[in-house]
Amino acid sequence: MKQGSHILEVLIDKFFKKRTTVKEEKLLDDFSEAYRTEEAWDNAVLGDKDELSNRMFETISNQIEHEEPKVIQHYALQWGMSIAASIVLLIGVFLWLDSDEVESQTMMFASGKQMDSVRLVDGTMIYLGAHSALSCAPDFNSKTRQVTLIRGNAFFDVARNPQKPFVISSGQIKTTVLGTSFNIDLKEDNCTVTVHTGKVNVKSQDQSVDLIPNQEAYFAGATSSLSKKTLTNSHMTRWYRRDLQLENTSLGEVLSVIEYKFGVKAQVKNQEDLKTPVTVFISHDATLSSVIEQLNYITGNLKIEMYEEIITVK
Amino acid sequence: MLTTNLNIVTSMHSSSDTALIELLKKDSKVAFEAIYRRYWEKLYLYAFKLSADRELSQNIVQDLFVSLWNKRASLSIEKLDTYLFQSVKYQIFKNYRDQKLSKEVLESRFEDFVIENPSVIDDSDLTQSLYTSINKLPSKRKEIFLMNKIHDLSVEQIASELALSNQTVKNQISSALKQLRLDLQDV
Repeated sequence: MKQGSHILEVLIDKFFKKRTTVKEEKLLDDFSEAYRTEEAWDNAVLGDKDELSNRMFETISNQIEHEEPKVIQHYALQWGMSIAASIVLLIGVFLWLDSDEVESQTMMFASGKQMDSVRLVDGTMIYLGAHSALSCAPDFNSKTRQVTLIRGNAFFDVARNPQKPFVISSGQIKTTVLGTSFNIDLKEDNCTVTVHTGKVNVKSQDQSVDLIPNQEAYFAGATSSLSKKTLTNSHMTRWYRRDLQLENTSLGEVLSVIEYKFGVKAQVKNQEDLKTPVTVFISHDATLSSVIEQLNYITGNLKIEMYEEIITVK
Repeated sequence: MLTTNLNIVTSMHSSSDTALIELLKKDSKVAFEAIYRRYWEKLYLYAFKLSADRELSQNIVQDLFVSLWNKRASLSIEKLDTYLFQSVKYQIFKNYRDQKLSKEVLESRFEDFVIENPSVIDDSDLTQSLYTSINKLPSKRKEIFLMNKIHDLSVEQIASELALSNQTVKNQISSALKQLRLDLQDV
């Protein structure tokens, strides 16, 4: 310690280096305790008390409601996406029951124009595609783990817990797993569950299928039928990854990945074009326009353009 | 959320800190808000008293509550108020160490405390140096200072005892304080 230091500086320096003696510790305690006085609020010095109280609580609330999105921001950064104000991060919907002691909270997560991710209390990681929403049961992780995919697309990396099955409701089907990773894509009239690792069971009202990796269950809303198929060379389940190397993949699949990642829609004039095999690398910091430029270059005779949020392929 | 929960927050006013912490651990935002309403002002005033810095006080209290929420699952708090005030103290000390607040304010609070309460610091190096400083005071000044601070006599009592004017006694005390402060500043 340099010469001429204030005695408090010496003490606080020791305090942080955990070198205070018992007596010095007590001195610092007594000192700080002495200023814990019950003094009245002075509006003239401190401003309006209620206004400050509410303003501070609002700041605190904003920060804690974004607690999960801290994870989201982290991933958003990894993906090289700007954390624009447009990201709708987390909406907490609180349903209060009559009892003072017991309260029920349905948590809802919604993504905006870009993909987001959410880590649940049990350790499960959920990557939400753009414009997707998910809710968690009030008693999530008590006996079972129940969530509902309300709209859009989500990749689930479920933390293993055989005692508490993880159940996802999406439209008219229920997907039950113990610990695995898979993707659910919920559309207005259909829903697809694609398994990446582990075993997954998918049930509709009257049908049930078991899936293993690279298998997909497709539920058609119009006929209420559930079917299963095995995929070859599927990259779809990996759309959430940091860097994506899509080798010899159909243009249709690449466009789906882009839809999930960037929250855009693709319109294709000639359905046959979707089968065009392409090889692209989408790095974590790729922009939509750079990916489209790359695709245009590779496909040559096709014209891929983007206008607002629609990609057209001619 | 603020308005809909108001009645529940009100009914939680009477809940004990322990009950609120239990609810907080179960992710109760209502309990969280009740804790905030109960403590924010005291904590803010405390931080302000030690720093004379409104912005810093506000940030310390806000960060404390954010961290209380974030750590709710792993909290082991025996006494909530002790925990909260200790946290504010820790932050004030940290900001002082990192020179993020006006050091003079906390230092003069400390000087006031030491000089007002010489007995609380008995038997340490600091007391030694404080008593050495007191001993170095001119004898009259020392006597007046000790009567005032150690024996808790008022200015009037000292004045009548020593047959001096009130003003003289006050002047002597303030000169003594000034000298002691200087000594405390240079250890």
